[in-house]
Amino acid sequence: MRYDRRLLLLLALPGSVLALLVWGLVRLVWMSLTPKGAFGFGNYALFFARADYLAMLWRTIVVAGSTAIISLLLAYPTAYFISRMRRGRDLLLLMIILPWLVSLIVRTYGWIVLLGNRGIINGVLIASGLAETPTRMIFNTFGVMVGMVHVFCPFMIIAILTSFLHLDRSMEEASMSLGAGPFKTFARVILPLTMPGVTSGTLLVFLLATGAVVTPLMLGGVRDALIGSQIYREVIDAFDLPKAATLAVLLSVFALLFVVPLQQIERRVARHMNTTR
Amino acid sequence: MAVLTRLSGLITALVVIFLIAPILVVVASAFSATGYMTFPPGSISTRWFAAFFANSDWLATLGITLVLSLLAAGFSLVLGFAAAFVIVRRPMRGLPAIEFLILLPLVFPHAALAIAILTVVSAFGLVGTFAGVLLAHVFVTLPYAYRPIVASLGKLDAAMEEAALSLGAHPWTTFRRITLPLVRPGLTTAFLFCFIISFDETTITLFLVGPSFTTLPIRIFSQLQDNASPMVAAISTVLIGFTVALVVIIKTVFGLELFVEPEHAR
Amino acid sequence: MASSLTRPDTARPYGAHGLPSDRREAAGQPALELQAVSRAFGTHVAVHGVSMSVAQGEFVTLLGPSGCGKTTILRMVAGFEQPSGGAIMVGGAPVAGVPPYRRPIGIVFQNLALFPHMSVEGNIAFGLEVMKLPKGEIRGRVDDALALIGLVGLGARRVHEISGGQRQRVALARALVTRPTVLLLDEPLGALDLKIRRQLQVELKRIQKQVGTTFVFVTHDQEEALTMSDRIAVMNGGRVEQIGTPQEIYDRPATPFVARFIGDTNLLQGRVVASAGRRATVALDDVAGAVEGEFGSDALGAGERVALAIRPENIRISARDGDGAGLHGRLEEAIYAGAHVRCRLRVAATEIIANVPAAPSSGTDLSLGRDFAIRWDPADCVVQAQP
Repeated sequence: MRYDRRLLLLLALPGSVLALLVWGLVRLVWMSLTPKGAFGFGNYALFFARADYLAMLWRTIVVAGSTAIISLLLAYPTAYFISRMRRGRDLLLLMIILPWLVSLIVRTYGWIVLLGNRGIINGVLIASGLAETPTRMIFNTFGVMVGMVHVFCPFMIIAILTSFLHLDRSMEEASMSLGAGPFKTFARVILPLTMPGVTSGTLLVFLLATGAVVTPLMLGGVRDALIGSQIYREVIDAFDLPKAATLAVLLSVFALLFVVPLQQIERRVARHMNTTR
Repeated sequence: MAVLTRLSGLITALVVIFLIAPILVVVASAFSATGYMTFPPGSISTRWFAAFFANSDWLATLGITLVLSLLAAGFSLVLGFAAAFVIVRRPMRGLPAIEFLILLPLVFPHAALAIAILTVVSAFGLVGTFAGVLLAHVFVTLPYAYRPIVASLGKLDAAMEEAALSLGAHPWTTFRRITLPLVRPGLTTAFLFCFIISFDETTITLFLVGPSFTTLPIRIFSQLQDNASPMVAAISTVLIGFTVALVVIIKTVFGLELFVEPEHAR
Repeated sequence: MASSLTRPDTARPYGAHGLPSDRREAAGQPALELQAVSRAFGTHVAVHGVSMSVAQGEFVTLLGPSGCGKTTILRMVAGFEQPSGGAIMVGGAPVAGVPPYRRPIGIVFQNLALFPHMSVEGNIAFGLEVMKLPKGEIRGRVDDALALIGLVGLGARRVHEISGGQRQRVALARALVTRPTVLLLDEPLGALDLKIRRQLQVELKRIQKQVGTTFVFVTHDQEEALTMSDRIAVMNGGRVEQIGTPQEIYDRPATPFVARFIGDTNLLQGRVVASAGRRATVALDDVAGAVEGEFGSDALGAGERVALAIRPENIRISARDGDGAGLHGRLEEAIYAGAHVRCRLRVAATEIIANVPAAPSSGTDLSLGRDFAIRWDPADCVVQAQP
């Protein structure tokens, strides 16, 4: 069916909501530039003058990057295994998707129960005599990493699984029939063909991990805050919205700064795939 | 490939245990007499569920959160359908930008997105209100509505609508009797997806609640920040129950491929 | 083929609520008329000033290779595309500006486009429901339609629960129950395998005769067109090359394209030497000597360039007797093809294909390398203007 221009009227509804979103993004930048009502880069100057803020920014990038890499290392074999399953694939997929959709707060709570000083793991360690005092596993960067990998690993699995499901099984068989062993087949055929899922999953996880708030707030220590949790503190504890806006803008900028090169790689991979196919 | 398959099977098992463990301990805690799972485990009890269902305050929060999620899902469904319909049916310049904006919340760091939304909500004086959180949830769930709808509209054969027109059906009748029923799976998916996302949303909602309005996940968050009531595990378990029920519904009605490849699912 | 050459003289009403031809338009009006219709997509012209007229109750086929514009014509008649120029009349009334849902047409789509969320009956009843007919009338018409297509008792089935051939019939019934002035069929048999396809061709023709509705059928399958149509319009590059009965099209192809597209043909190039009435004597380019044929359309004068089209089955070969005049060639290949032997003869720089009856009684010795005299009845050789 062909539609005339009147159809564009339908866009008025979602368009106005999206306009609000754009307005919010603009206001975000504007707010960061108008500390105490006057235009200026004061907030930014303040940020870059403080070593603890720069360290926090760096920590955020490192934690998000590590989260992405650890998630990738766990997700890739998992996605491979799921894609190769004949029976029981649905059940396994359910085991991945359920935790993904369970409330973030509930999952974080679960980690407190598991890893806390009076938690189950410490309970087991002490009861079995392996340790005398509880090991500190949360309220530090380790706890944040565990929580973040837990939150983002399913994203990665699903991104890579999509690639695997597009991969024709006969590719693998063709490679084997041509005399390539399992490792060669993996390196020369499977890995290159699933690269799009790897790059898009890594990008997504990195971006989302830089913006995490709840996990660092609940599982992280006070002294090793990340930008996300700091933004929350600035808004809720210090009522300093311009400062929070500054942090938000810097977070977005730096996240993008790291994403752009990755995207270049993704594009090169995509181009490579098109020419070799 | 046997070596690689076995190795990846082992890792998969560990990943599944890792993913499920914190959820299982919450459920186990909820059924313990102390409300906090310890080692060695104590006695089994359902007293905390009883306490939750007897607490009208918590139940009110559960109720308002359900209403919020239903409304957010409803609005996102309508907005997502309107956008998807135009973008699929009348491709033209500028529309990819709209699509980009719709999908932006999927990839934008949520801490920054939260502040952007906060500035909008506060500009209308809606911080700490139902309406403010609802608006935020529409932003956040819109991409989850949009994607399955675009997929099902894209797969809809134009000849179906032409057939109806050629049989004398007015465009509106065609839309009602042919187009809508044929994209219904996409619409249902979109709705359920949005509902789950809204019901569990924490990060952005955290910035928008106030003394007079809060959602269930945020109330659990506050409890955990202060001295957690032993009831928290039971409440969390109820939340888990909701998610499990919805996922199982989606699994039986549409299959799980939906989560993996929204554009290839039915 | 003989049956398809005779037009149904009278449209017989079918059943109490049947599907009679019609009613709306004045007698004598063509059911469909195209007046210099053209359609351009950007710079690409899909349809070039096509004019044709389809009588009530007629079965007309638009035949041509893919991309020749036949489907575009169909979509313009249906109202899904707007002509860039010209006029379309359905039942005598111009349809410009009339939306698809107000045109008295029915369509059977290439992929059938049966509504998957409705039963067989639901599909057939849809058009009647949107016309807001009384329930009883809908019931009656749907039952009649199911009887017509031989699917009584399957009405409650879902569309995906019936066979491909049955789906075809449902799509036909769905389009016919609303009693359209013209039924458009867009290669509806394309996806079926040969056997079911043949069977449905016969059935489609029977139903068309029974209900007397005007059919405009689009296909690229020449055999389908020849067996089913009252008239065929052969299209190429957005133009109609020839309109005529299947016999006219086959026996008297107006252009080299038509000759090539329909059946096997030998095409020879030459120049008119002399003409007398329809009869022409033509000097061939590649071979010494003149041959005779008849003009396909207007007679041309001496000196005009022409193409000659002769069907392989109309060529007779015989052992060359001495040095006799006329065409002769060396047998290079003989392929047994059941009822006949397909012989490839080299005649100087060209080749001629002749289908020789395979019956042993014909007694021709078909040894390769032998020389044969090549003859045909001038009436079987069509002389076409060569642009």
